[in-house]
Amino acid sequence: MKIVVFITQTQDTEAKIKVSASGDTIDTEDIKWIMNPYDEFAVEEAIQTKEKFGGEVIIVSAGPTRVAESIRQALAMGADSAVHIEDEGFANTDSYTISKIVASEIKKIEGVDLIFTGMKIIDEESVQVGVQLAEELGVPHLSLVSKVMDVNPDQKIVKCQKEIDGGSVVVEAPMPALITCPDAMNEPRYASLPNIMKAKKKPMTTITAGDIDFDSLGISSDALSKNGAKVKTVNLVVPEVERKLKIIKGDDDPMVKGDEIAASAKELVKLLKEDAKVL
Amino acid sequence: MTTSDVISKLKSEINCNISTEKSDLETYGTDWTREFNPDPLAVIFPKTIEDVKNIVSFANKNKVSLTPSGGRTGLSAGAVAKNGELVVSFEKMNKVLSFNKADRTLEVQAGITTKEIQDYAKEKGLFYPVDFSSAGSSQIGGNIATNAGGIRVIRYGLTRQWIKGLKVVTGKGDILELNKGLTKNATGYDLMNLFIGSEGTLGLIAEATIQLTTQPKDSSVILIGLKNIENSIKVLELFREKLTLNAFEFFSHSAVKHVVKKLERNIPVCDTLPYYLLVDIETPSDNEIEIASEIYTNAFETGLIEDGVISQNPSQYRELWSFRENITEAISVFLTYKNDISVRTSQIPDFINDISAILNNEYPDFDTILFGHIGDGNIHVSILKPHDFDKEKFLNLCRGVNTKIFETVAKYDGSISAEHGVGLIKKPYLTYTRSEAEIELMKGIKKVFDPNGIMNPGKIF
Repeated sequence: MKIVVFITQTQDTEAKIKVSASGDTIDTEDIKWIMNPYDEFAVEEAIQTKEKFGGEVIIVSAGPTRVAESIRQALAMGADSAVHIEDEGFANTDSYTISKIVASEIKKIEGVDLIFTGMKIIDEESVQVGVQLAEELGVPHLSLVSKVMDVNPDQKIVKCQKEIDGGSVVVEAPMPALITCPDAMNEPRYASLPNIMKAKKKPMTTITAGDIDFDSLGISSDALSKNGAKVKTVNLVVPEVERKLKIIKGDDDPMVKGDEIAASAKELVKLLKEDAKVL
Repeated sequence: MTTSDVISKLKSEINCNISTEKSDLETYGTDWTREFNPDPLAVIFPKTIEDVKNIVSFANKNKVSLTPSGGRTGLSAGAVAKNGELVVSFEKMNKVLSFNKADRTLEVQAGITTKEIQDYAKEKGLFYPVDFSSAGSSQIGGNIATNAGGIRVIRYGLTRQWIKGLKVVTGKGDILELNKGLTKNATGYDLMNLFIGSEGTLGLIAEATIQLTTQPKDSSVILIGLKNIENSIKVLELFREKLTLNAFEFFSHSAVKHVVKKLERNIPVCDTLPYYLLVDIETPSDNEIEIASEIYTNAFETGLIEDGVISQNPSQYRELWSFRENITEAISVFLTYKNDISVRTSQIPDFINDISAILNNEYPDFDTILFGHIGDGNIHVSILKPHDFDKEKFLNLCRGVNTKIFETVAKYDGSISAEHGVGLIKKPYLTYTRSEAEIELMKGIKKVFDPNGIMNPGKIF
């Protein structure tokens, strides 16, 4: 049984995001990159599935050179091999292009039974790549799966549990099928040091833009750029924090004396009447 | 003069905000220890070093004792005012006075928090390496007065190493400018270093010149499980020989269940081992990871370690650290009796075995937790009061067992207070670490700086 996991990289969740001068992208200078947390759940689920039902796990990722770090992390966690579709342009394109290209590479892997990926990527939150991959591959899509319950490689059936409001539901689908993984689906494992070293020796195939036949995929040759993307990010805005709390006190000292309290109380009443209009 | 006369006189002579509100007296008159009831005369909030000088001068004339108060995160009751002292809060002296790019130094007032200094340094592309979980509240003046340590001592040393100058007001009322930012100054007794760790008994620290340094490179953290504490220092030696260590921390199995409960996250290594190590190493390239892996593999194959994982990205780095950093908070739901003791690093395994034997003997039914900076030879011993056990009975029992613990510390020529200071809490046990002759000399030194004995009386000795 072959299990594919599609992973991406995102900014560290504690990175301080700054909008670049052009206003349509972020300043990446001091950014640290991590595996998209939802994809980490997908990798863990794929490895657990392999451990229970047998098979091999193949990581597929599309992105700049730095993405290799996250691929190595997935290999150290227990995946067996990887395909890196490497191009700086993936950072600027849209989910449609990504899905077209990634699906074409997954199709080249013979005998795939399951495809796992995160339910969304936490950078722009388009929540589309998983769904579009299933469409491009022509396979059923099981969304928001909380647990893979059973896999039958002979009968080619996968059975999963999904959480719904107030309960859960069990669904099954013929394989190959694509599963998108929600938050807290499992506890992604840490790699041991020996496994990190072994991961270096695991096969990783790198594909470049030159290897992609854009025409046959029905996308323009400049699809891996801002110009060629169908959906373009035109403006990024960091929300301004509106400070609604107003502290009234005599001065900046922790204690307020008697006459200052009277003045502060008058000020408070005035604001409650005029600004807040609650009196 | 009655208390209210003194307060009226203080208010008329000193131009600072002064509070005698009950809630302020309770807040500013104590620290994180909860053993003593605060009972200060008043709380005063100076804004400048001249204000501080005026306060000391007033105190000398009117026979008022002074207790300095910083972020009040101390764990030895060094900032507790329980005998009618005037509490001098540095809360309003919280400014950066200047930054010198060439010297990489920062002049600050004593009431600035450790975190504010760290953030300021970062903004300037530099680094202030002293760090601990209370960094957001603790103030640099208190850090200096207790020579605070924390999690990066193995690489960067204690607060002392990062102080280049102090402006203090002695107990006599003199302003001294000590060392003035110099790196080299071989001109007699080092009075600046005498004030570092003096716990407010010689004078009040008003301003400090802080040395900043280069930001550290990317780092990784390895969580290791051990079967024997004997192996911990062997593991330290192996890593330290070939890599730059940022921290080498330890916690006992008994800490795990509390942290796991608080974080709602399982520890990602075998959770039944008696000891765990957290090794923070600088890993600017794959080369260091490779070296770490070789060390790990050899240690694993020779049976030195049982299990381990390494962080592979910043979020894993934070998460592995969280298992160590959250211990104090996780056990804070219990009344905890704490000890902070140290020996030479090489003696740690024998020392921990001896301490564990005492704890098992004396507290067979209590939850006892060991953790700390064993790379620096420092362990924290925490004894948790069972919820249904009487508080006074518990504290008396703990104080009784202290004698046995400190006898063991003395046997190893160790310290009864590694990084928390002496304050009131460790005062009865000072002789386990310092000789009578040393204590007499310390008292003599205090007399020179504070002839009327007004500076934080009753602390240390």
